Amino acid sequence: MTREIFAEKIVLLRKTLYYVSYSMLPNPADQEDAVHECIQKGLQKCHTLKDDRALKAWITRILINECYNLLRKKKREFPAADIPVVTPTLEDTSLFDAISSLDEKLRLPVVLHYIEGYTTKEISNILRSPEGTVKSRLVQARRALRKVLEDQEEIL
Amino acid sequence: MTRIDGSLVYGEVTDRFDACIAHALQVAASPMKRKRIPAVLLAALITLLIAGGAVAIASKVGLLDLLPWFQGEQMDHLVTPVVDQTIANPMKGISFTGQEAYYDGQRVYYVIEAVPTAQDTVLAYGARLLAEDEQEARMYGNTVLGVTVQPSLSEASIPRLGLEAHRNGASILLVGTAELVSGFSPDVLEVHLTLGSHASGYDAALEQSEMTLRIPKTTEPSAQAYTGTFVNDLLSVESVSLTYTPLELSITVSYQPLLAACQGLRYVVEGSPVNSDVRDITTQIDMATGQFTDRFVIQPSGALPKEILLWVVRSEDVLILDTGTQTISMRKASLVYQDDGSVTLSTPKNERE
Repeated sequence: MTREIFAEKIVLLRKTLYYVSYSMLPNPADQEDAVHECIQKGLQKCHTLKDDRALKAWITRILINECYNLLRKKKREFPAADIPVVTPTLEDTSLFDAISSLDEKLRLPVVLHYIEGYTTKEISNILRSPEGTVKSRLVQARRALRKVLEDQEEIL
Repeated sequence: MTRIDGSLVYGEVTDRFDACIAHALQVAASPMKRKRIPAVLLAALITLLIAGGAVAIASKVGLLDLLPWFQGEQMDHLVTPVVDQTIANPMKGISFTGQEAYYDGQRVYYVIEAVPTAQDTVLAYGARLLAEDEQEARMYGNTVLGVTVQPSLSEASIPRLGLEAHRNGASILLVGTAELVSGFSPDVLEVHLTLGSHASGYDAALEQSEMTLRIPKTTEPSAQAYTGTFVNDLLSVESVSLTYTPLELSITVSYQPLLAACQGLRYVVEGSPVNSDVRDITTQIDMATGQFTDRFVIQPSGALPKEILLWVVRSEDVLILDTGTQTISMRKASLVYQDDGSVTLSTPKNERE
């Protein structure tokens, strides 16, 4: 894949980059740092990508790695600090609150499957986890989401 | 559950985010325009800084196996590769073997390995870890066998005796450590282990067995001095000494701050311990004293690295201790934190050979 085609496709994948980075990093500045690094790495290596259809999964994997790198660096620099979660500007944030309340290992499969539409097999490749693990995490996540949303309804 | 519109969860992509993408594409497309951090800014940033050790894990090679290679003849007396062990009543489903041990008169360390003897058996240690393994084993219809170990020493004066479990492929490594009170130092230490196995879902142990490890006393090794120099914008490293036992790696670095602004400031020392678990070490040091010492806890059954890395945070200079030749060298590289918690080096393009 050429750098020009990569740049065109990346613009089309902006929503994917936004949702995945937001699901892992609560702070917009960190999301932008991760996406910036991810795009730079993608541009450096895009010539190695033989099949254009693999771009979305490939760039998602790079972005997830960058998010992990950033989280680790932050943890090392500010081990005791709690990173404040920036809530998106929405009328109803119940879905955001519910998904954000999930443990990260459950949250990422939910975002990849239910928002990005990846199959469990594809998620298994992206996260380098067995497909069985992905399936069981989705089951756990659904259960947890149902409970959180029911609790929210009761409060309302 | 059907597809969710991401904008209902995270909102619409912000203009700022779009600008970030455009900027990243623009910057990456013109690498010649990338700016280097000026020295003055670097000096301002160095309120962080200096060194640490990072290392890779080798889960199957015993630590003690590598000691002779690491420090040659001087370390021979430390090696206790053969653990004198007796075991009563071998159990069904699991075999236990003493892998390695060390006892220096004050501290004791041992590794025993629990191996499933049936192919479809998954081992779980106690109840506190491997919940996922257990869950997956259930999904695939395997047998889950719990392992418990209760260590004790024949002598009473033991302030603490710890035990950790680590996954090692299909088997579990059980690592015990204890620190003895001063003045108590037999030539051969006996560690008694009560081994238990139980099937998943049962509270009581189904089978029990006894194991005794007899570990002869060894003495502390002497420190090794490394030769070479390391100079970057911030400091000059003049000497490094390294002391190693199977329990601990200690690195002492003497250095000279090169910038006046560095003197008297406090710095944060960062590092990852030997054998790459994510267990960050953060130490406050005083640059004016010109010396710092870091101690890294050795993880079980890990190999000693051929290279130990010390780095200046936010700079691209990495100091490398070559444990084979005991020399110091330097190369330009940046650190990359891997998913498994280990740290690797990324060499800048213009430095690659």
